[in-house]
Amino acid sequence: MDQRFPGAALVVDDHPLYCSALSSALTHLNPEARIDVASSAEEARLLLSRDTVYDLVMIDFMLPGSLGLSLLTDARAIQPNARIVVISGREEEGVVQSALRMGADGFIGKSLAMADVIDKVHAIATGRPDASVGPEPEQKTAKHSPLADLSPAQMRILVAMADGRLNKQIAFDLGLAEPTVKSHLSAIFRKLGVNNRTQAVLVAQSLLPAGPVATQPVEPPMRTARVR
Amino acid sequence: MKPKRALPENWAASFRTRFVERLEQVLVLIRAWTADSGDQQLEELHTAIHNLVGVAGALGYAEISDCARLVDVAINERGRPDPEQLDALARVMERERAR
Repeated sequence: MDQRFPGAALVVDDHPLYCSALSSALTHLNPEARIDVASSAEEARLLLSRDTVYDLVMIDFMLPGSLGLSLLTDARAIQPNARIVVISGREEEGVVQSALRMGADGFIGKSLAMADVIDKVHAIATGRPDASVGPEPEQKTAKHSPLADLSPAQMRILVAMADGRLNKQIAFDLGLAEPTVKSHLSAIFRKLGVNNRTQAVLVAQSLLPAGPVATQPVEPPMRTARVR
Repeated sequence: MKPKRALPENWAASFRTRFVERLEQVLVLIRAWTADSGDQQLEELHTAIHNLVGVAGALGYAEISDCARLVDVAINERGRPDPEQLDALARVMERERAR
């Protein structure tokens, strides 16, 4: 990894003060870094689709009107070389594992002091062994989540489904054939112990806590080319 | 122990000023909830407290962050804050504002 990391970063967070503080702190990793900010998934998708090649994308787990994890999938597809870090005030094992299984390069709890956040971002960028930035060891005794049984592809499909996307849209967004999506759905239902889409979404919403602000997914589907 | 990529000593100063100003707004929400525990107030209070967990921790106000997290978890799990935890949070916030 280039010593001048990040060259360009996108911070996606709807809390202005945290966003400003994080952006400012990132410039201490590279004073010449370009730091863009977005306060919603929709705004982030617009920025991701423009010409800037980001080498770091930091996404709040909970965004207004959307699960940050849904944005993660799109960010990975649009900017395949970016390091993607999920940040969240919710630091339960289920949230951390969901983010990592969805393809995040790291997870950083928002309650960390900013100096530690920067240290961890650098660790993720350089691929140091300590870059697994989930909860501390004593917190890793949380009960088994059914989400842990899902493959990364199934996690992406579940999150897309919870975001209100139809099979055809999910197939297009993830670069899969529609029958493949249906096959994954059958596996998801079986692993979650449910019989249909509605029940699966309810389970997903209970296990992927939407928190105080991101309760109703409202955004339109995003056309993306492929997923890493 | 690996070296930390420390931020400058005065890095957080301007953010802390804004943060302490913001505390008053959250205290108003806490008082409003305490006076009238309505659903509308709860949603606004929950959002404010959830945000407080992160930004307080990031700027070095660990005690406020910890107290806010307890309230946040209680609302997530039980649908409403624990009055004692809310009061404890208000007290640490008041103490910080008075500094």
